[in-house]
Amino acid sequence: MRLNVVLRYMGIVMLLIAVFIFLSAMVSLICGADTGLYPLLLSSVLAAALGSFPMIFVDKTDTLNMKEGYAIVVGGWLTACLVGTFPYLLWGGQFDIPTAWFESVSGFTTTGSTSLSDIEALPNGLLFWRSCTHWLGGLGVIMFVLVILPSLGRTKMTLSSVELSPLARENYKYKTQKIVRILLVLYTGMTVCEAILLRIAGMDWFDAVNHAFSCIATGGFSTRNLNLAYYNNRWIEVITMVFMTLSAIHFGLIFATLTGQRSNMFRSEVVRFFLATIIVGGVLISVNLYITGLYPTLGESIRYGGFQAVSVITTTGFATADTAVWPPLATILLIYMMFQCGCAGSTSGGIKSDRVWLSLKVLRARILQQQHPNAIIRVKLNKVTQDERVISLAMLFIVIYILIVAAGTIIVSATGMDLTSSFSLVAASMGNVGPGFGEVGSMANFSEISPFVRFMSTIFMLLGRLEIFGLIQLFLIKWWK
Amino acid sequence: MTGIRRKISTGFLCLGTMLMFSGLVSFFELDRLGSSTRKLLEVSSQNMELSKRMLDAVQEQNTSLLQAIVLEHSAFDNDYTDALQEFESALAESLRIGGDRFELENIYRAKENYSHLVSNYFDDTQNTDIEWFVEMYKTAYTELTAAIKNYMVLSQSSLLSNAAYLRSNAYRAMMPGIITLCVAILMALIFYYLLDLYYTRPLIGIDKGLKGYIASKTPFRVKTEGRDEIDSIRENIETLISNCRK
Repeated sequence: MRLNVVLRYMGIVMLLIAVFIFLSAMVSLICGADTGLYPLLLSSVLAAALGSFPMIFVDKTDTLNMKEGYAIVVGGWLTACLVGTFPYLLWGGQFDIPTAWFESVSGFTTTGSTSLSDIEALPNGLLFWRSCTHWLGGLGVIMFVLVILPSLGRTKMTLSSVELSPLARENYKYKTQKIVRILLVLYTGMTVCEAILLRIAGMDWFDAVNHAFSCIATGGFSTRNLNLAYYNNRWIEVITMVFMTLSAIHFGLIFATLTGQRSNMFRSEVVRFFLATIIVGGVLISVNLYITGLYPTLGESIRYGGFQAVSVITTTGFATADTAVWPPLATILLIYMMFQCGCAGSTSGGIKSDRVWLSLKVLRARILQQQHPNAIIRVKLNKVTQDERVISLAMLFIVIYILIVAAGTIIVSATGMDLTSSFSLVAASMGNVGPGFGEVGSMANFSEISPFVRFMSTIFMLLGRLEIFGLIQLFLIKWWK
Repeated sequence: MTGIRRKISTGFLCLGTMLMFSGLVSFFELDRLGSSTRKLLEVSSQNMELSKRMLDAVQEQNTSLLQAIVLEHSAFDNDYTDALQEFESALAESLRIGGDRFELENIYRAKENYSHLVSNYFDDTQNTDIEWFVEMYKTAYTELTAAIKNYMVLSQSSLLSNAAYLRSNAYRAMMPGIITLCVAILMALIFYYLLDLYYTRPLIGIDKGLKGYIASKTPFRVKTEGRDEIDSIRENIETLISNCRK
């Protein structure tokens, strides 16, 4: 592996971060040169200096091998998280080193958990930078994966076959540049649309842009301590629900739908399964809330139950109600949604609906196989027969995912945290959802959680964001032949 | 400038700039911390001084009044007026430098009450007897001095909270310097690695290759990174060796 080439690409990541920190500094300047201006400007200079340094020596290279690709993707994520702490640390205030690291990782992995007790005390520039980390994180995953994968050549990359749904493979008929352009236009376009709609619905421009950044990236950071509950506005909730759902659908499928292609999102089995889960889950949660009398009317139960269901399954983590006090059935359903999450090729995290749907199909095939031992039963997804290797990798991913959540729960509960909080903290961090239950409920924050648990939580966030194998491979790269 | 010279010079320039920048940031932050420390201490010290002036002025007013009552001499009117002016000037100064508004308002109210009583005496609209002195005057005087003493105590105790604030400020002042220095150290490590990769290792390789060729005519195979003078030297040596073989 050529470390110098990896350093050059990581430098490019840092330059990208420097540009966004500088933009945040400009926002700070526009908002009356608040206290965030100087830390943001200094951070921008430092990130730019560090990022451009390797370029003095290392020449541009067009070919990357698989090891280098992995190292760049994972190294880029870690570097981004590290450089992302600079504005927070330089600003000071509520930020010490563990808090800044937590906030940065939570931002870039689009988890959206916060360890700040008073978000509204932050200057506007810094609030904007927090939202930018989400936006970069949401876009970054797609960009990195889809930009770097073609550079790996025709190497059989096992992860890609599961990670990318059939339409994503269709997209590979396009040139890389076109895929990137489609994603960029869609991502930016959706962000702009949502910001405008939120503004019309009653938010001011600053909040609208920040929430749009957060929503499209399925992050969950808000500019308000009470999150979206602060606005108590039905239109804002409806707009956010629509965009959260869209952001959790494969971007290639959205493009296909917009351009009138046959293989659009309404024909995708996975999207139908994802939408059905939202509807069934949302209805069950709402009915449960109404029956238990938590909300006086069915309308209110649907409003809060529906919103939280969409927020959790899309891994956004916005909150309009305190789910920590919800009845057991609603809690269990939300926990299931924390695992299933959105579709592959979107900005959401978790196991992904694709793998869950595939596993259900495999289960059906195995039952049929037992009934008809001599029959050749193929597992098909969107009418495409799935390779045995793809299936086994998907199953392996689900098993490892659940094992990590179990191991994480044991580690976190060993620190004295109750079981509900420990389990939901690990599940919410792995799935990049954000809020859990108990001590880490939707209206609570991580400020009271010990620095060790917070650090562990960031490891789970990164594991979830890098789809487990990505982060593990980085540490095994030395033995990778 | 040639390739190697340009790269190494730029590298050192970047490192030097970064270190200088880290020094400047630390200097700037420490200077800012020093200024805010000085300002806080000055405010505390001024508040205490002004409290003392107010207390002295009230005592002077009290003495003037007693002298005027006992000695029945109008000359003491002026002493009282001077002391009142001194008090008002100290109070106005306290408000100007941003003393605790709540405590200063208490002082102001107590002073108004006290002045009203005393001015009534000097205007001959108030008979002074022992009952007036004990029940009205003494109460107003005690209230005023107590308000001033409260303010004085608050000024002293605020030093503690100021110290805590300065401690958190010290953390904030150190952090930019530390981060800039960390970035500079990281750059130095990258610089070391790249110098080793691009120059040291190829030069050692060329040396070994040449020694091997001279000693036992082993083929000269050296790998270099990048297109610069080192690469040019390698190519020239390869050409020289192939010419010698002919």
